Parts: sequence; C-alpha cells; structure tokens
Amino acid sequence: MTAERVAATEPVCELVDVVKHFGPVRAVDGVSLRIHPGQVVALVGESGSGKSTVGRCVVRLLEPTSGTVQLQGVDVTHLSRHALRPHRKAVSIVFQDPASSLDPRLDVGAVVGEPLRLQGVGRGDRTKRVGDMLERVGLRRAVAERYPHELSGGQRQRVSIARALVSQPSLLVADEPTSALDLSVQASVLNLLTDLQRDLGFACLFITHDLSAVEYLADDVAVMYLGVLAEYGPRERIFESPKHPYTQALLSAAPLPDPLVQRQRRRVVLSGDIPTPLDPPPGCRFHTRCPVADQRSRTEVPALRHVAGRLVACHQVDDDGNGPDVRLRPDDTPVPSGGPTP
Amino acid sequence: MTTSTRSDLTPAPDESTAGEPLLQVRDLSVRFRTEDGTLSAVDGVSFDARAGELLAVVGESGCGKSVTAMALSGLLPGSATVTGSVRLDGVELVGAGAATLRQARGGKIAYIFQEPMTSLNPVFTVGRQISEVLRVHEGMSKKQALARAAELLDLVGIPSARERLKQYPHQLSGGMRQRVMIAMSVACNPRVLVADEPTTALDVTVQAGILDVLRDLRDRLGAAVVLITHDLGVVADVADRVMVMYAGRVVERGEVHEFFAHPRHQYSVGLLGAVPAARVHGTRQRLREIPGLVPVLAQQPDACTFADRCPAADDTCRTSRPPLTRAPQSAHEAACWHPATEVNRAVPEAGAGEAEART
Repeated sequence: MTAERVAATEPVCELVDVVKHFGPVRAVDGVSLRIHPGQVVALVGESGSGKSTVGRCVVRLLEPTSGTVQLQGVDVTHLSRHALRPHRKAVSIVFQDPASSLDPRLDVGAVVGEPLRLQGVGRGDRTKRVGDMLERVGLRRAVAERYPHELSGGQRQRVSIARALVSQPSLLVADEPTSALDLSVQASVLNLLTDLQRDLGFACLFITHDLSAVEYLADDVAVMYLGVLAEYGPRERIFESPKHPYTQALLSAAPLPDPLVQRQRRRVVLSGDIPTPLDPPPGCRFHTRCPVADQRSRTEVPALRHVAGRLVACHQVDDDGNGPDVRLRPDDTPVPSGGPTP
Repeated sequence: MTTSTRSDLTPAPDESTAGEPLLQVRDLSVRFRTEDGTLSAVDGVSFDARAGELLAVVGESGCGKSVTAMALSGLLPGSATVTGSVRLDGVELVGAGAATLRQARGGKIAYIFQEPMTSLNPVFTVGRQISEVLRVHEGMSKKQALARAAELLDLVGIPSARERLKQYPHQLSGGMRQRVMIAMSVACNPRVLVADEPTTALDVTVQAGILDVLRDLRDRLGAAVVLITHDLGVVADVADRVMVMYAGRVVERGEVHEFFAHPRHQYSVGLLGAVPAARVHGTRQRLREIPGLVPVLAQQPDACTFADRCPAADDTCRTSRPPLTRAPQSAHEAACWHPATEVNRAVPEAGAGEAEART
C-alpha cells in the first residue's frame, strides 16, 4: 500500500479494527485492511488464523462483532439483509470447494444468472450476459444447460468465478479458490483470475495459504496469525525482507520446487501448532512459538506500526526495521530464503 | 529461477553399483471391477526402493500413486485384481497368503497416511496404540513396550514423550498426531516406509518438521522411504529419486536434480511449468496450463495416454505405447516419443507476449 495509491483513490473496501467473535471463540480480533480499485491483496495465514472469517465479514456473510466494514465509502457493518441488497452487487466471493458451493439442482445457467435475477435483470438480457460470462471464463455457452455434477473440478471453479463476476463487482473475495484443485488445473485457474482481473479491473482479496500463488498474484500481502495481523505491506517488501518472525518462518517453511535452491535454504520449524482462539496467549499472540520472544512479548501486545515500508507487529523490530531474522543462526551469513525472488 | 552452487550436494547414487534393492516392483498392474465395468488404475509399474534412499512418487489425483502404494502389501479391497511382482527383501508379496502379508506389514513395510485423525483410534491412549504394535510384532512385555514407545516419540521429535503416552489422540495437535502415526509406523524398524501424502493436511510450518523426521528415518534407520506426494516443493526438498505417474503408468523416473533441471516427459514439463514460480525482474511469467483431464481408463491403449493433452503429440503417440527409455549417458528415463529438449521446453518463456510487466 504505497502512499501515492492511498492518496489517489478511494478504497473499494476498508476494514477498520474488525472483530468477530463466535461466542468465546475470538476468530478475528482487530483487523484493518484497505483494498484499492484493481488491487490484489493477499490474506495469508495457516488454518485457524481467521483469514476466511475476515473474507466473510467483507462480503457481509458474517456481521462483525465490532469495527467497521466500508464498501465504496458506505458503512455496511451492521446493515440488515434488506438494506444490504444494493451493496451486494459491489462484492462477491468464490469459495474453495466448488462442488459444495454450487447448487446441484440448478443448471449452470441458473447458477450463474442468479445474481442478475436478484437484481431484477430480465430473462433475455440475463441469458446473454450469462453466455458472455461463461465464454469469458473459458467455457462454451452451451455449458449453461449442464448441471454442476457433469463438470470437472476445474470447470466447476470456472462456473463459480463466472457467477461471482457476472454482476461486475468492484471487489472479488477469493477464498482458497485453487486449494481443492490439481496442480495443472490450479495453473489454469490462476491464469484465468489474472486475465480477468486485468481485463475487468476488479479488486481482489485473495485468501490463501499457498505462498507461491501469493507471490504470483498479489500487490499487497497481509499475514494473519491467530486473529490479528502480523505484517502487512507491498508484496516485494514482504517477500524480500520479511520483518515479523512469523512471516519469516512461514516463507522459509514453504518448499520451493527447485532442489538446488531449496536444499540451501534454512527452514524454520515452529514448535507446536497455532494456539486455540478460545484463549489466545497474552502479549504477542505468536510468543508461544516464537524463537526470539522475550519477557515483553509475553506480556505486552505489540502494536502494528509502520516500519521499513510496511506494517509490522513485533517488539523485536526497531523503528528502522532492524530486528532478528529467525532464519539465521548466529554464525550464518545471510541467505536468500525469503522466497523465490531473485 | 535462481541457481546456486552445487557444492554441498550429495552425488547421485550410481545405479550400477547399488546392491539388491529392498523393494523390487515389476510390472505391477491393478484393475478394479466396478458397476460400470473394469477400470485400469495401475498399468505395468516397475520401480526399486533402496535402503537409505527416499523415492518420491509424484502425480495428480487419479494417476494411480496411492493405489500403487496400497497394492504393495495387499491392502486393496477384493474388487481389485493385482498382477505383477512385488518383492520385499526377497519375499514375493503379490498373491502371497495372509500370514506372509501380515508378517510383512508393520514388520518390514509400514505406512503413514494423510489424515492421522482417522488412522488413530480415538478411544485408546497414544501409548497403548504404539505399544500394541510392539507387543504383537516384537513380543515385548507391556512395560518394555511402553518404554520403547517413549523412545519412539522422542525419535520423531515429540517433547516430554513420557507424558504424551498417557494422552488421547484428540488431545494432540495435527502435527503431533502425524508424528505419533510415524512413531507407530517405525516401531518395528520397517525396512520400507510408505508415506502417502503425509503432510498434505498440515500447515507449512508443521510440514517442515514432518519432512525432517522422514529425512532422519532414511538417514538414521537406513529405511527405504517411498513418499507419495503431489507437491513438487516437497519433492525438491527431500527426494533422492523421483518417479512421475500419469493415468496409471510411470512416465518418468530419475535422480531428483536431473529431474528438476532436465525433465524429459512432456507431462513433467507441464507440471513443473504449472507451479507459480519466481518473478524474473518483476515480470510475471504466465503459468503453463495442461488442457483437458486425466483419462479414466477401462483398457490401457497401445498409445501414450497423455497424447490428448500433449503439445508435442503426433500419430506415433496415438498409435504406439512409448516404452521407458534412458537418456544418453544417464539413468534418467522417460516414456515419451518426443522427450523434451531445452528448445521445446522453453515454450512458456517463448510466449513472451503473454508475460506481462508488473510495476
């Protein structure tokens, strides 16, 4: 998120201090994000980090416990279903598993046309727009007469994407859109999203745990851990010089498909799993697994602050961006292990 | 993609001087009887797994990699017909009796599956489940078995092992459960360890630890590890040799560095090109797509099964089955009539019009 971009445009979506608790489960505990027109923001984290909950708050499938969600300058945080209607058009979502997110009783034409029908678009116009959209996502118009179970996983995900984009939203939330797909199919879906995003110009909140896809697609990267942001900033800064120990561990742990590079990298193995959001640790939430945590980390919550061109929440990083690199041991010389960026 | 020095790499194992492999699979085929007729899942697969070596079996869903693993020790249901030969330490397992198979499983060959929660019994403690293996196979007393179980948990990197023995599977995290599964699998010092997508259900920071355990078992116990995975990053990280499967057949086989540097089968080239990789000077390369789908085969045709999706396919590919052949002066094999060369592998880069500049 560069200063120029912030100044130039009004964000399509702005989250301010969004909190979402499910009873005692503190799934999201204060997340602020800003997505500008045409921008791809990747929300990265492991299972249980709360990233999907953030995505559902953005499209208002969930109502935040506190904080605000603004879509194109309008506060939609607590709007009723009815009041939300006019704003639904602006934002849509694609889920991980197209098999369970498409209604098996509706043919593809009805599935893709549904958002238009709800907006009161007439049948003739709808058929045309659905056909156009199917072609855009690389399917034949005739697929409109087929049912989801007749399609392959990759084709179904194309249908989900067509459905999400048919109402020309200004923001697409893509929640692990390629995770359930085989590698060769993932590639075609990522290529498709890239092409559509370039041609149609929508902004995208790309929720994923796949770091190679993030590096491929994202402009900005937000790293989530246990309901809060650990680090947030431009892709190249996060990948080239991650500051938060968790970001460093995450980037170092994802193996690269090149044995020459991969076998020279120092991987950080974190002990244990992500703690339960029922009772998140006090202080820095990462301190129970952090190799460089100290007394302050255990008691005082680190603020998310501007450091070295990104936001980072870590006591160990000073205001000039100097801090520990958990990928190095004391006797090591630095190794390029941030990611596959040369 | 960045490259670096080869200085600390272990030399490729020399195939000609290696001893008798622990596991020798020859012409293994599996057919299933289904309501819609027969289905050919594995077709003529041959490979060796050697002590102290990690063989990665790579492929997408439906390629037959898991069925191959199950067929090794007769774990497939009755609807499967298995032919060919699987020799484990000199003993033939295909068509072997129940007693021979039972002795092999758990003793000489052990499995680790993807989802540890469904493979562990939720009503017994971890200690009981591990020690049961030892009491049955090794004839240990309860006390001996529990002591050994604690050692095993220690071996797979579980802290405070003695305490953990008393816990139930639900009290452990996903990564810990997978470590318990591994501890159970290696309890009787198996010679061959088959790990079927052992890290797929885990987060990357946990995956790294499990891969370390597999590496350690290969090095310290000298086990032959057969790692089944779809993740090329994992392959690059831990494998010594790679075997790529497609639609039930082995299409490529070779030493790991050779495979990544010079993939020969057009399918392997496609897979490697499909991984979102490095941006070169901020430029995003278009990902390579493989059009079409993996075929579901009733009969294995006398043709290359990848031909319908292959950019290099011609009439030969559609009418004649390519044998696995070695590259010149190399042990690297591919079953392809038109193996990739540096020239035709450069297709994604050549389509420079599609690569877009990013700011």
